[in-house]
Amino acid sequence: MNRFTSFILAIMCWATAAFAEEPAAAVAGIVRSATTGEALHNAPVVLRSRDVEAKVFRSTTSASGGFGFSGLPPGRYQLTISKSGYETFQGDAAVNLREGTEGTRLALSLWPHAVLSGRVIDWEGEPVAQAQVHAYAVVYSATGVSLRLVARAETNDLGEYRVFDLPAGKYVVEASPPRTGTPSGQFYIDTPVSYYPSALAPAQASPIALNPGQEVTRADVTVARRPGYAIAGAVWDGLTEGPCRRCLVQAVQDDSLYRATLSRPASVSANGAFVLRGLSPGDYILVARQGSAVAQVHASIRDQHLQGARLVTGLQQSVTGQMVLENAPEGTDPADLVPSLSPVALPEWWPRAEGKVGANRQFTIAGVSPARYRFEVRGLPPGAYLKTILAGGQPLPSPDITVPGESGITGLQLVIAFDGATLRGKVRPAGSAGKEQSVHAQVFLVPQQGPSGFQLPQTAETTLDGSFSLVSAAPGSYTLYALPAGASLQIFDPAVQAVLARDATNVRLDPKATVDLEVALASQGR
Amino acid sequence: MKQMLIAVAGFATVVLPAMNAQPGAGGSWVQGAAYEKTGEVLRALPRVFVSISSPGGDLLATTRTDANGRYQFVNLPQGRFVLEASKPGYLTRPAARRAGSRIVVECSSGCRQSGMDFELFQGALVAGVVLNASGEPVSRAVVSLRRVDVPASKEERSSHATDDLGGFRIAGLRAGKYILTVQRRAASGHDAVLTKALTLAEGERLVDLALTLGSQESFRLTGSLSGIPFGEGYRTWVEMRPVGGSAPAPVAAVGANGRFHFDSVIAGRYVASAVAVGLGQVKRNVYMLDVLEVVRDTDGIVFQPVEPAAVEGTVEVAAGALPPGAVIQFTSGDGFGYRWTRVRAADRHFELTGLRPGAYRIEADSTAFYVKGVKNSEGIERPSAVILSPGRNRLAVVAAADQAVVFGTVQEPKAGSPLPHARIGLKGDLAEYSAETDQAGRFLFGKVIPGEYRICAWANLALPNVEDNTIWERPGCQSRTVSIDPFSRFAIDVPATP
Repeated sequence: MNRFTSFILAIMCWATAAFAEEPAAAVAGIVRSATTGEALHNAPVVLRSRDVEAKVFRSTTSASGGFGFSGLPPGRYQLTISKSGYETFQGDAAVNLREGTEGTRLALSLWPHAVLSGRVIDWEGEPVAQAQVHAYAVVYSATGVSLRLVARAETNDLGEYRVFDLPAGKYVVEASPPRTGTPSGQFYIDTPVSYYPSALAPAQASPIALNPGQEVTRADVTVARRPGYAIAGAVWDGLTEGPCRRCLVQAVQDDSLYRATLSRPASVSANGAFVLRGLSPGDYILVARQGSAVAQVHASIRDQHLQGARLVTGLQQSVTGQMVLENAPEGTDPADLVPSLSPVALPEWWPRAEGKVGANRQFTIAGVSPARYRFEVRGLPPGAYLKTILAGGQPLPSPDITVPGESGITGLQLVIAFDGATLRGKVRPAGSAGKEQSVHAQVFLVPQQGPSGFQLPQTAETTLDGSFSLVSAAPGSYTLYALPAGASLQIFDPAVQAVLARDATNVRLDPKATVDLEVALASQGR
Repeated sequence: MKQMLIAVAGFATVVLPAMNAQPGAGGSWVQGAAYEKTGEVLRALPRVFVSISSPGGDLLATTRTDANGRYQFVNLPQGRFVLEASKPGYLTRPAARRAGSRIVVECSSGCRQSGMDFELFQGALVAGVVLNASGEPVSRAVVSLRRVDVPASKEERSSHATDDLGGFRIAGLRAGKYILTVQRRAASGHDAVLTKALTLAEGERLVDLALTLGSQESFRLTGSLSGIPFGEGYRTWVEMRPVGGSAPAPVAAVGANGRFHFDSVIAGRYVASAVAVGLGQVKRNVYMLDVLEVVRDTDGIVFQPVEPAAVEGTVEVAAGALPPGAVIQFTSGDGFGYRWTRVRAADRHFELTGLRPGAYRIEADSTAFYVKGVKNSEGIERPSAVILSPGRNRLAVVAAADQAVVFGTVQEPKAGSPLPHARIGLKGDLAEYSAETDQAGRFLFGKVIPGEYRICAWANLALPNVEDNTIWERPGCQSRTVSIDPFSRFAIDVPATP
């Protein structure tokens, strides 16, 4: 899923005829702004060999945006171009140089970052100095919508802020009052965080849509006058059976639409007590953490302070079961498989847990903090996928499980099938007539039945000639989208899917099938 | 969390928590105003944050001055309170009659205190852009300002990261000399640094500063060594360690002719030292050199080794007994920090080596004993200052543990009744003490160094603290002196000054 969020954009290249017998290759290119077409000079260009460790070639674009490398050992290279104010271009397998390749010319476009600026003012229209402003990108994923912190800023003495280096997308802007210790910190001590323009919860905020290179000014956030409420409680360390003095407590706004981790954590006193202040009415997940020891509890604020919240860290459980391999080919070693648990709808820093497969294909995942997790199996050979999970012989509806605080989970059966389909293909540039061009694209294979159950979306990046392959897809019906690589494209946003419907390809993958197809690059890049 | 804010008749008003209010306290208030003084012109300053806290620092309530610069806190319980004012970009001027920029108020039942006024002034502003050598804005560079005309312990620092346009803005600065540093972490690991000396006048507004990274203002220093081995058989170099701050420490090799050459040393204060290593040797011979203020190109510097000071001696105990593990501390009068040493229990011997020669103050590190003086051939000297010369210094430090207890009550000057929450101070040549009386008007100083003291008590806590010399000029504070004997228990009742 990381592909969804990688930075980058469109790349085109003209491969010209190769000659010469020398065992070296060359590549040259030009770097432009994707929006204005202006040449980007003084941008560092890095080619990193994917075959030989530590083989790195560096250059910088000239005044006309050009760069060139010669005498390169043949092989595959990762290409990175960075320029302040632009999304970094990063093609993991972008350049594939064969022996003697000469004069490969790349035309690369970098998307400019967007900027948000404005003021933070209070209920009397007074500028709030040293307020903390956070820009959260609205991220659509297979499991729902979430907010991811992309940039932060502090207001100056005039209450002005400017957040920059923002990839195009939808943003929710949050302003939290100045910290105590600043001149106005005590005055705003109970002021809750507010969202643009003046909402108390992210769901009520107006998201701001930013196009590449766009600058939205006057994104003024008004902080609410109403005093916030406090949640007081204690954190207990279940291992030492004493107060968890080094724990930090944070509130995650459990909004109906998003979850946002509020930026003001509370520390825990010697007797384990904490107070989180300045909270608006609403639902929260309180999270306490000290290293990998984490704990969570739900809390709702209506119209009064909340006392007696209790968190116990260190209550880690084990999840155990057996791997069931369906028609595994010869030589499959279950010990290579790594069952793992990724937190669902929790902050990014919530620890993952990994297990080991031992004798009799039994697996144990130890040290799991109570929460909701998604099962994943890593180390699967090509063609293999997690088909279903049985609990007490009954299939679970999805790979998501809730690990309770009181006890672990035992007797699970993770069923691995080996009849996954392979999809190979080539992405064709949109609207190219006759001209020999290639594209750098990201392809998304999205289950038609929606992102539920065990049939999961997959993604792959194409090489510079537009070719890609997806292996180990669970059999079923999918929709395939090909988008300019790195478009921080919200493919799970229904609105985006509707726009892209014209360029989408429906594909049915049968067990063990290998499907070849050619698809067009979506014309709606962003 | 428990306060409630309401606005009353033109005042920004705060009702203190009802649970703290005592019966009959209703109707008590303090009020005041905030002014901005520009030259001789006083102007009411609206939107100034004012807080009221307990003397222990617990915040009770906050408010903001209204359009006329006025504020008020009502329903105060009995007790003492500290008022503080602040406004982004502004600084509070210590008022003549106040303890620094804070105001202490005493509120008895039904108190009404007005005129609790604050004077603010706009701080200096430094704003501009950071550019690279090609004139493009540099984002995420950290611009820091460090005030250098104050002792290192009181250095004021502020910093700001540049935005995508290279912009930065630092407001609310005090007048003074600053070192401005711009730092940009580069992916290559080589940080671009720029340092510049700035002098800011009160309220000065420097808004168009263009700082170009790679155009570091730096200076050439050349000179020679004297009295340090170099040339054949030696590898010798000069190091310049910046005093405070994060500037790099430049190093220059010393050639066969004994000369050294620094191409670019950025502005600042440095401690120079030379290192000589004999060929084939491992031992580094380190020589202390001068302290250097680098502000311009300088040629012809002659560095001579400064012989470090070593100090040793014994602690003579004039009275009482030294606590086990007693530590004495040498604090540099030239801003080089402090060093401490433990006094050996068996023979009360101490020693310290490698000190930079200069002025030092010798002190006990705890209140269990005190350093009375340093004995030289003529007798006892004041303890606060010794000059350590290069080479060995022998000192006979005289310590004592014969402190007295001083206690009593502070009385209302006319009626003679005990005064609760009054302040009392003792000021002597060696030490000064201050305390506040309890509910019964009593005070107690547990560890008073014997000697002559002036003693003074005041009911009005809005007056400056005892550290402020002006308080001792007040009538009634000059004449009253007491003599405290070693180990004594000294009882005294002090009428408060009017």
